[in-house]
Amino acid sequence: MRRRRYILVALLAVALSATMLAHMGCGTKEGGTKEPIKIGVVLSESGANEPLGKPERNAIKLFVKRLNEAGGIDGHEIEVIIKDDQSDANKAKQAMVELLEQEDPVAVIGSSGTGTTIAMKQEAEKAGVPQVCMAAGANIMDGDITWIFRTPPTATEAGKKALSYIAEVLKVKKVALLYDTNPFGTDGKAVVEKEAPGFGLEVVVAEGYQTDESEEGMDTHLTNVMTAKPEVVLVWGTNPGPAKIVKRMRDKGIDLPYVGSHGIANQAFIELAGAAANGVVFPAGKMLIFEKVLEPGSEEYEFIKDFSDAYFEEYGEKINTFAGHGWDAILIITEALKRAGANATREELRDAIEATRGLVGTAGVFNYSPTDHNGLTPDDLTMVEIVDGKWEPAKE
Amino acid sequence: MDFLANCPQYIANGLANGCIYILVAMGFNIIFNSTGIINFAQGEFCMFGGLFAYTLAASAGLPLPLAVVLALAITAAIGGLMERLLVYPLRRAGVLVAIIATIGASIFFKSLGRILWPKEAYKVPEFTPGNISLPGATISRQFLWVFGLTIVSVAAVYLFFNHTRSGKAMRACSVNRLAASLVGINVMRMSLYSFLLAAALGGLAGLINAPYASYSIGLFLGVKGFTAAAVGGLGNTFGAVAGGVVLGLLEELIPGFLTVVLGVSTGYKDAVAAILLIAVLLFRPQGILGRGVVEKV
Repeated sequence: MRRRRYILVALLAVALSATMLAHMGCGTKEGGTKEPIKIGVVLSESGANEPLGKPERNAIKLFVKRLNEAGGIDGHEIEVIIKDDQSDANKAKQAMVELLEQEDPVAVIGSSGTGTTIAMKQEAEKAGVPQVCMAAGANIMDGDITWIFRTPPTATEAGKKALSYIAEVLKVKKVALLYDTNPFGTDGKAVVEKEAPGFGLEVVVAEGYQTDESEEGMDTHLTNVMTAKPEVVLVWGTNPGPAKIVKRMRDKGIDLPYVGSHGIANQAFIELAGAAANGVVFPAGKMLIFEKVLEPGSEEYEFIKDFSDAYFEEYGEKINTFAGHGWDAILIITEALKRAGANATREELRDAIEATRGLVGTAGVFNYSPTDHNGLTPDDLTMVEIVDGKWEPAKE
Repeated sequence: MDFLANCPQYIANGLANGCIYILVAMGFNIIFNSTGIINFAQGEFCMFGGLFAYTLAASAGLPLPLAVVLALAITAAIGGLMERLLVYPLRRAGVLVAIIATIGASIFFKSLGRILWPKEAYKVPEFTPGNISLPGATISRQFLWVFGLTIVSVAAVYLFFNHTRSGKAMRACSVNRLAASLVGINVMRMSLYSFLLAAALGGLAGLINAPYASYSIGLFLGVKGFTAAAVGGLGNTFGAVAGGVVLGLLEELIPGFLTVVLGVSTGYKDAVAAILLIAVLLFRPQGILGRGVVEKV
């Protein structure tokens, strides 16, 4: 018995000394002895917004990997700490608190969805840490905007782009608006109703629908709006509602032009709507069809091409809008760090982000100002037409 | 005038939706009749029906009739499993506990659906694509299937409960479970049968509600189906038919009237179902065709 205990103690001693030795070996990083710069990331890797969070995470990781291989910022490596909020506002808040307490990041990125972003925003304001979000909800910019910045285009830019297309290219006046009653759709409705008169357009009828309604339900909405004798149907929603509506429209032989929102700037819409998708026009970031709308050799073209190639090489997938939002978020922070210096405080970094001008990203050219933390304009979007199931530039 | 001209279209759309509601409502009724439980996971059976049909037909490439039958069989099996693993163990805990357990099952199924089918929507092949133009209305060919299959289902359920031994035994359970078990009816087996049947009906509803299915459809159809069942009279087969048709038609006609005649567009069609449900519960709690529940004093 006693001998066995001795052996045990000896083994423990060996194990302890071994771990201590191992630790002494990595007290300093080989090469750069400079402190890494910490950036916290909260996004939705699971839950309802998983299709957004995963590509965002992939893009951020790849961007940081490339930046560090190129020497980081003034020899400081960037370290991102990524947490999953499971598309849940409470978990986003919790993740944010943990990041701030344990990691002391100089800036945070997040989140994928509007609800989770707002939950983080409250904590970011309290702690005084710059936050760059990848969500498009209008209410994110309600209240104090000191610490929050945004990368995706919002309903305002997309709405103005779609309305100018209706007014200047289609040259019609009477718009029937069908909008999803979810936050995405109601944001769009507010913008369209506010901006339409400025383009000389009249919203003759606005009808809300629910995306889960059957095709027959959508048919009723269409029947209702057609009585107002519109010249164009504008549909503001995310899949599958807009696909059901366009399919039903063509089934009924209504050949009015159909203009969608940036919520259908994805392959899923084409799959769901089938042949009815042809002729549909919607606003989207130029990235979607950059090879067709940007000049090879221009800064924007080369920037997106580089991102697209690197992303494909790393993950074997094509880039999508959400990967672009992640890429832009980390780009904006690191570019601001380069200007403010690697040892910048949170306040200095915030000021540097706000001073971002003419920064080419995937969603467009970012220009922040003290009153505008969205950074994009309708000119950063382009109108896309679906032709034979493919995206083509719509006629300007 | 516009409103009247649109009416044929509203009625066609209302009937198409009403048929789906009838199928869901019958599922609620069958389970309620044999166990006394309101099954909150009924809408998720619709989700499984539609999404398994998509997977088998569109992804695995099986011929559509086979995919449909398989999808219904899988959905029925899920219903049976739910009964064995959840409802049966709670048989002595009381009806309320079992109802709360079905809410848990609904959340579990929905999460499972989201893991297996993460996209916003999937396209379930239609039985016969295309449309038919009638004077004043355009209907999809699928509508004829919806209509026909609903009539067949209603007839089959009616015949089953009134003209077969098992059906009569299930009705006996609903009248008095203790008495039924005393005369030798296996009450627990009837509970299992009711879940198999209700799940298959729900699956059928989700499947012919083509051409789109998604993991989130369960709540939407579940609420509508329950409203139809409650409006018609919970537990009454023809009540489900009446409730489904009334709800389906009102849902299209009322918003149509508001938009076209009064020029107000609410955007909340669902309010129709909610208001109808509240009105029925206030003024005729037993439903349109339901018989009053006699409380012994």
